[in-house]
Amino acid sequence: MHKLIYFIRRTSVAILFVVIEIIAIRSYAYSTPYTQARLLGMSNAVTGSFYALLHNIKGYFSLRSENERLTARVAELENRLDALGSDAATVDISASFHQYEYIPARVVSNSINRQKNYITLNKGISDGVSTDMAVLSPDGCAVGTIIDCSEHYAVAKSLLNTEFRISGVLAKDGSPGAVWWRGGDSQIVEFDGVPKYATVEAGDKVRAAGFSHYFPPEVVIGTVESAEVVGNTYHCRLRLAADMARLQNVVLVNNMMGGEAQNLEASHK
Amino acid sequence: MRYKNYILLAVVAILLQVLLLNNITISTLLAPMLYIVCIALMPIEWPPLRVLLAALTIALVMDFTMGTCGLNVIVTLPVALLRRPTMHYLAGISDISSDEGIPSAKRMGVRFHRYFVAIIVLHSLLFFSVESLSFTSFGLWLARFVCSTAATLTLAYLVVFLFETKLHSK
Repeated sequence: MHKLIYFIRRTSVAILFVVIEIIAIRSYAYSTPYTQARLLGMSNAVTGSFYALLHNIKGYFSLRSENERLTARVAELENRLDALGSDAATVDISASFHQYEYIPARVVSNSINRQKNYITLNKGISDGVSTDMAVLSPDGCAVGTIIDCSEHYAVAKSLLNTEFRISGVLAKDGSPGAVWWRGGDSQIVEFDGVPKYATVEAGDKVRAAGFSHYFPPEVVIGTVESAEVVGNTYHCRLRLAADMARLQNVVLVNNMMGGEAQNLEASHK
Repeated sequence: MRYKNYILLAVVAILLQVLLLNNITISTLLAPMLYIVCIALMPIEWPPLRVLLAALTIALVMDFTMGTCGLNVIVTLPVALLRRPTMHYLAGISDISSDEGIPSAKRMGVRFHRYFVAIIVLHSLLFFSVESLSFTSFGLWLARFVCSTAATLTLAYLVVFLFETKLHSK
C-alpha cells in the first residue's frame, strides 16, 4: 500500500500531464473540421500500423480456414464458368465493358460491439482506393462502404453502423426496401419498406439494389429470418450473409460509372 | 511577498499578449507568443506540479482569449514539463536547491541565454507544428516559425531587460 502511494506520488505530475493533454487534444481536434480531419488521418495512420501488426500475427493462425473459403469460392466460380459452356469462349473480353473494378484488401481492425462500427483496411489512396467504394467479403457479400482514406489505409463504415443505410431488393421478385442496423445483434439487420403485396418468406435472399451506385446489384446482403406486415409494408429481420465478426480479407469495389451517374443526377436536383 | 517580482512580470507579459499582440496583425508570418516568458522565468525552485498547474492556467487564459480550443494547452504543458531538464542540460543547474529565484542573465550569465532561447524555440516549434498539423507547405511553415520565433525572442528579451533594469534601479 505504501509502495502504491509512493508510486502515485512519484508519477502524479506525469499522469496529470497525460490526462490534461488528452483532454486538450480532444478539444482541439473537434474545434474545426480541418483539425478533425488531420488528427483523424494521423490517428488512422498510427492505429492502422499497430493493428496491421496484430492482424498479421492473428492472420497467420487462420490461414487454413481462409484457404478453405477461397477454395470454395474458386470452385463456385469454375462451376459458373462451366455453366456458361461454349458461350464463354465466344465472349470478346477486350470489347466488353467493365463497370466495376475490384481491389483486394486486408482488414487491420474491425469493431462489431459499438453502435457505430468501422473497419480499417490496409489499402489507401496509393492503391487506388477512394471514398464511396463498396466493401465486400471474399465471398461477395456486402460489408460496408469506404468513408475516409489516408495514403496507405482506408476506413469503411460497416453495415453494423446505425448510420448506415443501403437499398436492398428481394432476390426472387425485386421488391425494394431499405437495409439498416438497429444495434445489438451483430448478425441481424433490419429490412423494411417492402410493399405488402410482395410475398416475403423466411429464407428469401436479399441483394443490393444498386440504386446507391456503390454496390453491384448482384451483391448479397442477407437472408430473411422473419417478416411481419406493419401498416402497408413488410418489416423483416435479415441474417447478414457476411460473417462480420471474422472478417480477415475484403474486396473493394470501385464503380467507375458511379461518379458520372451521380453528377448527372445532381445536375437535375 | 517572495514571488512578487515574478507575478508582476507574468501579469505584464499576459496583458501584453492578450490586449496587444493578439489584436494586431502585422503579417501572417508574425505571431509572437510573449506569454511563454511566464513559463521560462518561473522561479527555479518551484516543484514540477506547481509549474504544471501555473502553465495550465496561463495556457487556458491564452486559449480562451485567442479562441484556440486547447492549442495553447497542448504546446505549453510539454514546455513546462521539459523546463527542468532544459535547465539541467543547458543552464547547468543540476541541484535545484543550490540556485533559486527567477532565472536571470545577471546571475546566470550565458547559461541563462542558452536556456531562455531553447524554451522559446521549443514552444514555437511545437506551437506552429500543432497549429498547421501538416508540412505540405513547409516553406511557409518555416517562414512563419522563424519570423514568429524571432519576434517572440525580441519582445521577450525587451520585457526581461526592462524588468531587470527596474529591479536593479530599486
